[in-house]
Amino acid sequence: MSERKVGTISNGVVIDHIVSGKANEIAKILNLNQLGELVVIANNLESKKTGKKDLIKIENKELSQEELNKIALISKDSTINIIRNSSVFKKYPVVVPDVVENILVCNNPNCISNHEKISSKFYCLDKSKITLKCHYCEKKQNEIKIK
Amino acid sequence: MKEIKHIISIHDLEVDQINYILDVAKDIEDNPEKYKDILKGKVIASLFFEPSTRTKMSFETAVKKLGGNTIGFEDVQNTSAKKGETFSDAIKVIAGYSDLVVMRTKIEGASRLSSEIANKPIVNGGDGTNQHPTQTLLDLYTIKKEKGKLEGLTIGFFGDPKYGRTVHSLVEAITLYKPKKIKFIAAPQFQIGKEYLEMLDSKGIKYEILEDAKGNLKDLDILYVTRTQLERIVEPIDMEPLKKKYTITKALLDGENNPGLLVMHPLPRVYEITTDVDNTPHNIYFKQADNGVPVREAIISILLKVIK
Repeated sequence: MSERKVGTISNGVVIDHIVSGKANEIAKILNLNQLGELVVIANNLESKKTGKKDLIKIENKELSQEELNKIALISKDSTINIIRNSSVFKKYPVVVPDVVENILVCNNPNCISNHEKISSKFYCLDKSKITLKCHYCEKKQNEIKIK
Repeated sequence: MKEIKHIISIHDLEVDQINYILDVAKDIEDNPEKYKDILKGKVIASLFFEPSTRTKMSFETAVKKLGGNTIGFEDVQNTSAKKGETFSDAIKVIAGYSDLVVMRTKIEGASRLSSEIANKPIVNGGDGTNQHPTQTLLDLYTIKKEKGKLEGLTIGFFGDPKYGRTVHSLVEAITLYKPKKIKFIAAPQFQIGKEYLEMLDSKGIKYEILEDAKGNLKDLDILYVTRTQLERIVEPIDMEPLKKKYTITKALLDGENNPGLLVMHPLPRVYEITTDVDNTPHNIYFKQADNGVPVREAIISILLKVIK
């Protein structure tokens, strides 16, 4: 199915070029089911670049920096389209942050961040593979777990 | 040189900071009279939430040799942790009682957190499988003292490069001094992880992956031995041939004909160096343990800013 066949929004945001199969995960971490606005989630759309892609359209929504960081960690090549009056007002790629604070849970059960009420903190060592190093236990991790 | 505020991880230290710690340790060891009262009136909290013999005793010896006092507990069961107090609260309170806190914890990253919430210097005496920076510093001190330098050496890591925490930290630290070559000698299931080889590749440092010690010790300056952590192997295998193959003996060292080769071990030793090596000039593992005291004296003195 092509992108045009998916419902349109007049004001809001389109998260495009999401890795196929990851749109539902992004919708969940953005709590879109509780937003009370029009939300369109499309899976497996045709993509010239990657063959298949997912896409999310959200009416009357602006994304915070923390939300953009979460999207980048789940699908690093996503692009954001800001829609105003049914036209694309601004378009930009998400950026994987150098430091990820209070977004992820450390995969090491023996890490202090899983035992005390503190903010987690990770350093991104490799943005292409999303390799992170925990500030506290120093363990490197590739599988991310959002709080 | 940047100020050293805490000792949490060997990764935090720059080469000039490490050199400064080693120089101060040497001066303290050579001139004990000059330093005997520099910690007078200072209280060091020694918090060993995990059992430790050598590290705890060497820290406490270091404080006493410099005229300071220690506070602490013998058994974590007798602390307020048992009543449900958070680690963060306990550290804030104890840091308030003392001038510096040394800690060993099972939980990884606990000393990093402490350095951020307590208003006193923190020394990590080992946090789980993560870091044990004072061991690495005493290893470097031992190599420098015995070989006269840290640069350009050929170093072998024998036994368990895969799981040995001390090996990982020393490999990373020694790369700061541009080693000539590093040899990893171990059974395939205990061989060094590929992330360390990638790190050596990125720094242009030569290395060899070897299974047998025999014939491969002739060009080494240092052989760093660690116990093979056989308990890490899940599938049942016959341990005895592995133990035999990965043991350093006097006969093996004699056969290598390398009189300058020095053998180190973080201790405790189990079977991996036979006792007949103890009485050879190759043995520096007991001196290495002794060196924990001046190195920890230096660390505490630097953090408390009592070095003139």
